[in-house]
Amino acid sequence: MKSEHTNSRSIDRRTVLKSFLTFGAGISLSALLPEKAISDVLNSPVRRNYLRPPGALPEPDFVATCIRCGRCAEVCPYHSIEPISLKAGLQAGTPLIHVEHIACYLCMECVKVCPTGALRDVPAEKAGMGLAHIDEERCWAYNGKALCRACYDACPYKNVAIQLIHLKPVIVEDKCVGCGLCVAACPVQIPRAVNVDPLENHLK
Amino acid sequence: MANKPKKKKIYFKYRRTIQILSFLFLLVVPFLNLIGFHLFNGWYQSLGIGYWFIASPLESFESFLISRTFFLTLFVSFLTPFFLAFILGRVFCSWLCPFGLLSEWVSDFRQWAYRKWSNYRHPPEGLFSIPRWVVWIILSIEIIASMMVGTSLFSIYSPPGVIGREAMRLAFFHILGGEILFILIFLTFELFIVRRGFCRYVCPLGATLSLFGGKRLLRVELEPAKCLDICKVCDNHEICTWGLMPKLGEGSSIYCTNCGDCIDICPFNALHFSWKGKKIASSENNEQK
Repeated sequence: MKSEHTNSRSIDRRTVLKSFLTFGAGISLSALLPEKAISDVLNSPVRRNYLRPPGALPEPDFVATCIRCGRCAEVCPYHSIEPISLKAGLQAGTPLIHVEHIACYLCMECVKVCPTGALRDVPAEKAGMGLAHIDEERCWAYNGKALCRACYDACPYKNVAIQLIHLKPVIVEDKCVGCGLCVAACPVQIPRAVNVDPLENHLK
Repeated sequence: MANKPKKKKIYFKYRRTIQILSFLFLLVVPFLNLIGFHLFNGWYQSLGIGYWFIASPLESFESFLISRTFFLTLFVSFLTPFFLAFILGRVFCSWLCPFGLLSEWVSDFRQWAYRKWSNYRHPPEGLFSIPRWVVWIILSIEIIASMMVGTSLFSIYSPPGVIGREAMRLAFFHILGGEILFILIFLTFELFIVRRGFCRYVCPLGATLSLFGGKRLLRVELEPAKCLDICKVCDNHEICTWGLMPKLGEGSSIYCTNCGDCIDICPFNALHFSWKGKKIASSENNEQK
C-alpha cells in the first residue's frame, strides 16, 4: 500500500511537469503569431446606429479586450446596452447599443464597472461612440415639411454639439459624441433623417 | 459489506448548500440590478461586490495576451481567483461553479439510470476512455485559437458565464441569447458519452485553476495505516465524480477539486483534508462506532 502511494505521487509530479510543458509550448508558439490578430472572421456588429458603449476602445481592440462579463449591460439604468446574441457569431455576448431603440443617456455608469479596460473611464464629453449625420433630403426641417427640432431638443449638448442655423439643425462634428438621443427622437421613420455612424478609426 | 456503517456526509452537506446558494446568487443578481441595486454586479466571468472586482482568470489572461496591454484593474481582479486556487486548489469547480451543480445532477441521474435500466452494478465512466492530459491540449488550443481569432473564445461558451449571461438577458430583455445551447450540448455530452466529460476533459478554466492549484495547501490525503486493501469504496468510480482514485493518492493530484466526497464515504476515516501536510481533524460524529 505504502509503495503504491509514493509511486503515484511521483507519477503525479510527472503529469504536473508534462502539463506545464504542454502549456508552455502552447504559449511560446503563440509568440510566432502576427502582431495584429486576424479580425476578419470576427465580423464587427458595429455599423450605422449599432454602437459600442461610451469610452469603448477602437473595434479590433475592443473585442480583444472585452471578456463579455456583461457588467456594463447589467449596470445600465436605461437598458440601452445589450449583450448581443449568438446570431452575431464570435461576437456573441459583447455589448452593443441600438440607438434607434434605446439611445445612450451618457450617465457613464458602465465605464466605472468595466474590469478589462475595454471601456475606458472617460468623461461623457469624450464618449466617442460615433458621429451623427443629418440626411438633408429626408429631414423635415430641411425639406420644409415641418418646423421640426426634435433632435435639437433631445441633444444633451444643445448649442454645442448641435446648433439651429436658420431653424435647421446642424451637427458640430468636433463636439458630437454619438450618443444617439437625436436618432431616438427623430420623427422621420425608417430610415431616420438623423443617424449615428461609428467613427472611422473605430472600424480598423 | 452487508451492514455498512451509515456515515454522515458532512462535507457534502456544506458543499451542496454552497453550490445551490451560488446558483441562486446568479439568478438573483440580475433582478437586484434591475431594481437599481448595484452592490452585486455581474457573474462568474467578472463579479463586482462594491469596489471589489473579481475576474475569471482564464478570460483575463486571454484578454491580456490578445490585447497585449496591461490594465491594472484587470490584474487586480485576476488576483482573487488566483490566490483562491493557489491556496485551496480547484475549489471553484466543486463548490461554486453553477455548471458543476448541473453536471453533478446529470452525473447522479446517469448512475441511477444505469443501475435501473441495465445490469451494471458499477456503471462505466463513459462509452470510451479519454486520457486526462487531453485537457491541457484543449487549454493550449483554446489560448492559441483565441490569439489567432483576436478575441477570448472561452468567454463565448464558458458555462458559468453563459448561465449568468442568460439569466441577465431573461431578467432585462425577456429573451435568451442562444448560448444556453452550449450548456445543453455539454450536459448531453456528459449524460450520454462520458460522465462529467466537459468538466474533466474540456473545461479550459478548470485546467487553468488546476495549474494554479498545483502547489495548494489544502489537499485530500490518505493515511495508509487506516486504509484497508480490499475495500474498494472510493475506487469503484462512483464516489469521485472526477474519476480519481483517492486510494492511490490521487487526492493530492493536480486534478483533484477538494470536493470531499471521498472523505465522506470512507468507512475507515482513512482519508482526510490536510492543511500544509497537517491533518485537519474531522468532527467526532464522523468516527466509526
